[in-house]
Amino acid sequence: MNANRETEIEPSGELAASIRDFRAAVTHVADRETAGPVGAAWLAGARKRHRSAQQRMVLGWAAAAMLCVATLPLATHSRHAVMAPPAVQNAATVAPAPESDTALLEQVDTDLSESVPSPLAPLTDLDSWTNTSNNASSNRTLNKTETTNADR
Amino acid sequence: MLELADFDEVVRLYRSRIFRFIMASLADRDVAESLTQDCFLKAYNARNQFRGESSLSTWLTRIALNLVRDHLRSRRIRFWQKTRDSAVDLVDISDWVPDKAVSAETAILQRERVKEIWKAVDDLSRHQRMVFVLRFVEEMELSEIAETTGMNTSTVKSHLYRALRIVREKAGVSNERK
Repeated sequence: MNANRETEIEPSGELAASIRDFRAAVTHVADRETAGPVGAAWLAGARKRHRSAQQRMVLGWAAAAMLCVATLPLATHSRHAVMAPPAVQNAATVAPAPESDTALLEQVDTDLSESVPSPLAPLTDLDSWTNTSNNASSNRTLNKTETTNADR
Repeated sequence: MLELADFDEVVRLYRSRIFRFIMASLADRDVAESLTQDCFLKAYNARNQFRGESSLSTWLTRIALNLVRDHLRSRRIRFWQKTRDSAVDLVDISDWVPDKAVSAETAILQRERVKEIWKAVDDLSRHQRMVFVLRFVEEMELSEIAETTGMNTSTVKSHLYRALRIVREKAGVSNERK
């Protein structure tokens, strides 16, 4: 395969002759086009193109720098605008928090000692009833136990 | 290091060769003339960097190769390249006489065949065309092509193999002798 490829990169026969003719034709045109003498101004065109390319590059960099400077205030403004809401939100959540444990306990006591609103009044009666019935049943159980122990 | 006085001699010796390489690569005479001037201007500006590690010819060809690459990369030029491709208008070779000994008919046939080869070369990919032109127009050795293009020798061989296959197919010529 490799040996085959080695021969394939060296043309032969009609292809080789055509490529030789191609080279001869290109050389002929090149010799014809470059036959004239090279004057002092021969490289003037190239110098001009080189200078204008440099100027284009400088102008490009200058335009890019101006664009950056112009968009900088917009970028910083939008960053502030995006960052502001979380700060307000944090302030709102942090402010009502109690300063210490003592203050928290005092607040709980105050809340518990507040009078119950009228719509919830039946529930407080129910609560006192539950407490009373619980006490009565526990007393009954205690008495029964004491009687059993005395019988023994 | 090249001296200013030597540089006129360098231009006189290598101008035609550099022009030929660029014209064979781009098939455009006007661009070839501009890029040849650019090549010698760059060489002149960078003459202090030439240490003689490679031959002057290889150094100049490398500069020309980079200019051709830049030219092909340019988007604006690519647009014109497409326009040119659509109306294949290669360099005029009508005044080229292949061999004075052959008949007029044979000369016309040879000219047509050269045009076919040129069209086929123009259709090659950038790398294939570079390698083909350096090998068969500039008659460089594979190692020289590798040094000039910065490719491995095996990569050069691979591009050359593909380029020859495409040229053979498109130009409709064979390896067989008549």
